[in-house]
Amino acid sequence: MAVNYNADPILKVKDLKQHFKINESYTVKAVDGVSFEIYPGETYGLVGESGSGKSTIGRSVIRLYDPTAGQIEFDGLDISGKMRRSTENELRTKMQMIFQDPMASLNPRKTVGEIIGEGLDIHKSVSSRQERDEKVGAILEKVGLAKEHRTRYPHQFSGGQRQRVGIARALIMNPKLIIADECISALDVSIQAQVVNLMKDIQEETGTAYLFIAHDLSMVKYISDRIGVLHLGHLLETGTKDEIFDNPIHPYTKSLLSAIPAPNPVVEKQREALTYDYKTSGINYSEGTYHKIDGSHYVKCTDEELEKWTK
Amino acid sequence: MAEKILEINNLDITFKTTAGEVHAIRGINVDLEKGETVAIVGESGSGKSVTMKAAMGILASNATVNSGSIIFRYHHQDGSPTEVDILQKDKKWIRKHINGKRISMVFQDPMTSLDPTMNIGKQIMEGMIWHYNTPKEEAFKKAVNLLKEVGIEDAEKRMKQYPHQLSGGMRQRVVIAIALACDPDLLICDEPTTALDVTIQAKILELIKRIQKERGISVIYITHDLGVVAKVADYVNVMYAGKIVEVGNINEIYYDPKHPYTWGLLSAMPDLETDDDRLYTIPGSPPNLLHEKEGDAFAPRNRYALEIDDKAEPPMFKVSDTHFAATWLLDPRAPKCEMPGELQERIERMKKEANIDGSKL
Repeated sequence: MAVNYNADPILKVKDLKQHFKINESYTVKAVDGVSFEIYPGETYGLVGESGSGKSTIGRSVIRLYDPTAGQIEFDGLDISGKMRRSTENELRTKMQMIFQDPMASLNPRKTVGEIIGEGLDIHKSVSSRQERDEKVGAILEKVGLAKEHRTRYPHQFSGGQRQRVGIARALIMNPKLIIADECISALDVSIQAQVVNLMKDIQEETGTAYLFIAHDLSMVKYISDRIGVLHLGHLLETGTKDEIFDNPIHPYTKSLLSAIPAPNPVVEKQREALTYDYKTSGINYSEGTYHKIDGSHYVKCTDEELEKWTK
Repeated sequence: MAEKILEINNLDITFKTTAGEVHAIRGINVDLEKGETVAIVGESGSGKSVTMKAAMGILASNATVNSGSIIFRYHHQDGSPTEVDILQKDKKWIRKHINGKRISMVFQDPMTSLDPTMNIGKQIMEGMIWHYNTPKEEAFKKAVNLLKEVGIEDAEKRMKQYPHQLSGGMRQRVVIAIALACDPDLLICDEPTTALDVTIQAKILELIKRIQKERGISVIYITHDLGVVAKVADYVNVMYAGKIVEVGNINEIYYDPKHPYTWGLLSAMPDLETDDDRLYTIPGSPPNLLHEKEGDAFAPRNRYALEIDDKAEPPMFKVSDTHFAATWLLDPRAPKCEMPGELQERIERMKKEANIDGSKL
């Protein structure tokens, strides 16, 4: 399904800040003024090294944290402050999350049917036991498992199958946005490809949008329509995947791209990754403002920096 | 020909578990020459870590070695060459003469492989003092130099710090320094960068490469990341279900793979040029080695499987002097079968990028 960029964004994040106070004198600014939008049916990839705040953004958006400042708008509803009951219901059904470790995120004492159907029970969206079972069965088949798997427990599945259960759990409420936080990092290479294909099929069929958080850049490039590059809580560069990969502007993006190992031994053996060190680079992320390069490609920097980098 | 320092012959290992016997390693051969880098590639459960644990003599107590030998060659301090079969020695002997001294290992997660209650300096010096009775002052000096060698600044200050005060990449550098402390001949890296970010991963791999060149040691990488392998390895062993299914030098494996499993592994990983609608996948999941199957273990997941795959296990077919693959597709009687089109295109593209033509392989 082609993404409709003329429609209203499903998710609008504006100047999101998420600070964690450690003690009186020390606050971790995990996310510091990040803005982006996701359109219906789109996949937005967030990349960055560990500690860059990419998971924090996902968790703030789905309101596992209370954002320190900034605005989050989901499907036209403001979800950043205190929410009304109806808004919260909408958020809890239409936005879902898939976690990294499928073993840790599935309750070992519940059957797969119970885990997947839990959302239906909580939101009372089914009227009978039979309807519930039918829905759970249908979702299981959609993610490539069998109806009969309903009565099994998470430990009876392999890693890839467990992640399919995690996806089924997210899908059962017909979400408009799914936050996938490193959802394939814990899987084997051959299984990763299966899960990514499944996620693509589901998007095609249901038109759900993804916020895809990962550190594997080649996979992010493969699945995403647009990409945001995060470092130390700042969104440094955002644009379509081609804009980012073909014409990276920010030195951090460049170093990140140069570090991706390519499965091409002759080329790979001669290449050396670029070094980037924030402390010695002389760049102050807080001073930068967003500069438009072209299309949807933006870079956070000062005027002088932009001139220097694009020369 | 250079000297072979490690030779694993026909190794076969089973584990006794409550669910029954798991035949984890089913007859594998690995050769490693001095100064070379060999990568062992495979999915989780394929037996790549078990193989290396056997070489270190640190197999779990429920493991039984049914057959095989692991020959390790090294020089005594006075220069006289020695040859041992590690499987014939007891754990105590290996602990004293091999582990950390001749063969060192770098593990995946630097947080769990460092002792959180001991400062960095002590952890680096520990091996030298234990193995060589190095006087403390000398050990301290050597440790500081090691830290500098692995790219840690302020080495003297770092010596007194604890693992939790360092970042993930720093910790892995410390682990490498510990591994190098006793000047080993062989370094085994078990998924050394899986827990690290791409930018740090690149730095660590370049570091290991540099050290290897400077010291002339041999390195074995255990990994599932074919991008990492492309960067570091000279030879590649592809493992599946406790067997090596394809072995060759790095160019043979990447530009001319023969085994359908290698095709699958290479295609399942998108490179930056991949823009197909779907990723090529290997259907199903790795087999449970509790239930042994007749024929080729990969057959149920292999879309190129032949009838014979269900009946007999394929032998290693020779492709070139260094390149072997265990698939019936290479049998002269087999129907002609090409690798998937997407992969072929990609290999062509990679060759162009690398500026090589087919004849040079």
